Amino acid sequence: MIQIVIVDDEADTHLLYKLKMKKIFSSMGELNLVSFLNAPDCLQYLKDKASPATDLILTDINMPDMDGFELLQKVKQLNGKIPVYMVSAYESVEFRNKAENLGASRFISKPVDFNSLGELLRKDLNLEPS
Amino acid sequence: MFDKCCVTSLKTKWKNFRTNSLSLKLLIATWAVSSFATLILTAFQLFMDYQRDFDKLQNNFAIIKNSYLDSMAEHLWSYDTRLLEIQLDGLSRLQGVGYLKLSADSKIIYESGKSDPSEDSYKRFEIFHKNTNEVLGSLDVELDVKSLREKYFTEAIWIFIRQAGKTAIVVFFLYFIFNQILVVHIRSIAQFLRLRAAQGDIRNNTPLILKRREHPREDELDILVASINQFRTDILEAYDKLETLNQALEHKVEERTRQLTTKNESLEKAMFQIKRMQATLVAQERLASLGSLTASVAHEIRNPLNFVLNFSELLSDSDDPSEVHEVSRVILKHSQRIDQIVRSMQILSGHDSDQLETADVNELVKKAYQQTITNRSLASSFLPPKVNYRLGDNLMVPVYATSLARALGNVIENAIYALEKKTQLDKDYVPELTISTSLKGDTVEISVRDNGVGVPGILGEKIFDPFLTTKAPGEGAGLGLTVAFNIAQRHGGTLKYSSDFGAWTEFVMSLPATQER
Repeated sequence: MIQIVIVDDEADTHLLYKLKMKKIFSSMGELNLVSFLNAPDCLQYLKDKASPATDLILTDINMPDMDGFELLQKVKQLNGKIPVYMVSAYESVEFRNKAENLGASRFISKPVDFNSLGELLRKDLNLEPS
Repeated sequence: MFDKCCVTSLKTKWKNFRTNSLSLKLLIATWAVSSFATLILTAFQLFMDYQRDFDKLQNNFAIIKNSYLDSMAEHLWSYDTRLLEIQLDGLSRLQGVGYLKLSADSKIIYESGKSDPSEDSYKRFEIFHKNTNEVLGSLDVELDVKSLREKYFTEAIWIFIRQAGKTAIVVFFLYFIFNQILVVHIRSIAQFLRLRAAQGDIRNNTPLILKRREHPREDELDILVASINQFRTDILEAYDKLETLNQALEHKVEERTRQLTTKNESLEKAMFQIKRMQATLVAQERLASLGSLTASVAHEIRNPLNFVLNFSELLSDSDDPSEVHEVSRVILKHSQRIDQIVRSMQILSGHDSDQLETADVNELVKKAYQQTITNRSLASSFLPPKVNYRLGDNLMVPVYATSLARALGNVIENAIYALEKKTQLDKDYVPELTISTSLKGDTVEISVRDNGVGVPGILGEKIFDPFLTTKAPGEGAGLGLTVAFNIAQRHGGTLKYSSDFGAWTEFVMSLPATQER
């Protein structure tokens, strides 16, 4: 089973990912989607030993309190192996480079093309259509 | 020391005499002093002489008393008239005796000369007998002082006339002597100096030379001439120096002017460059702010677009009615969000079709409130409190009605949001909303006051910056107050706020009551 963590301060995003991921993973196996409205809660979850292992993190960049870049750094300190996808409505070279330098796996622009996202996930998580 | 140099005509000389005040002054002064001295000395001398002669005259009385009276008494006693006559004749020949009269027994025995009653030098001698002291007769004697006085008076007159004449002659010669020795030369010096000044020919280097006879030793005039020539030379030198300095100065001024001109030119060039750079900077700044605004707008639109696009895609595939319902709601919400952003941008850019029209501000305020409540009811379950209206009268004002309603709506929405926030924090809290309108002078004031969460003081005027929001994502793009501020400005008015963080906030929009555009 694959566990993906979503971090976005807009609740509607969670619904979107839930519905879209369900479609994508319908052909790729079981998915456990965990959503957080802010980065600190996510970190808390990752640090918790009781939490199941996370395979991938999808995070928004523009968030109050702690933004996506900070979360990325913290996650990389915690466990460098977890791939992190940065999602932003700011389509800029600076953001892309910053994300890359900080060790993000992918930089996804909004509006999200879920077909492409599905392809990327399949590649990065070595999923084969079942 | 008579100079024979200046051969001048008699006429000139006379003219000189008349105008030559220095000589004339000397003449008058000499004459006056000399005359005064002569007068005093002569008067003194005459007085002394007169006094001596007068004393001599008075002495006659003593001579008569001592030398004549005794013998005269004897002769009277013996009545020897011959001897008496001889004696009296001798007496009458004494100098200064003017009148003699011998009387005895009331008879005039002898009388000579003429009596002058006005004469005060008069004496009567009583003649006594030597032994018996019997009065034998009397002798009247008058001294002739009058002729003495006359003599001295005449003498004085003559002396004065002589002296005056003598002085006049001396003074007359003195005048010419003085004239020749000094005045003529002073005149030459003056003419020399005047000519130099009149011709303006300071460079004329002929020295001053007085036409004088050879004389072995240098006198004051020579010193004066030498001094003047020395002074002239000095002035010439100073003039030369001044000219040199002047030329140098002119040169310097020219040099400086040239430098200044060069500097000015380079300054102008620099100024031009600065202006060009400024223009470039302004253009760049404009582009940059346009770029950052575009990025912000893109970001604000991409977020809801993300939902609209992806959810609508889901919608076409979904068969679940409840899912369809929920997804539709989210799509509608985010479509509205995009619409709001686009409208706001339109208002901010001024590209809306609103027209200036006279409207009742109170009606606009009420309409804005109603619209806000209606809009909110779609997204929020919070029931706003009943608004407390304090509306003024006669507020018909030229406004962009649609824009103003929108601006007021944004402010009211903010107020209600603050109330909602506080309600979530404090259960016992009673939300209040007051909207007032009033006419203050030529300004209409619209105030929206809430007792909500307030505005953190740190925000200040940033509260009006675009895309600044304290709301959760999706709840607001941070354009509401920016738009309201812009609309107030477009009316020629202002939007200001005051707040006590955690207690209340009041927004006051001031609009001109008469439009002067």
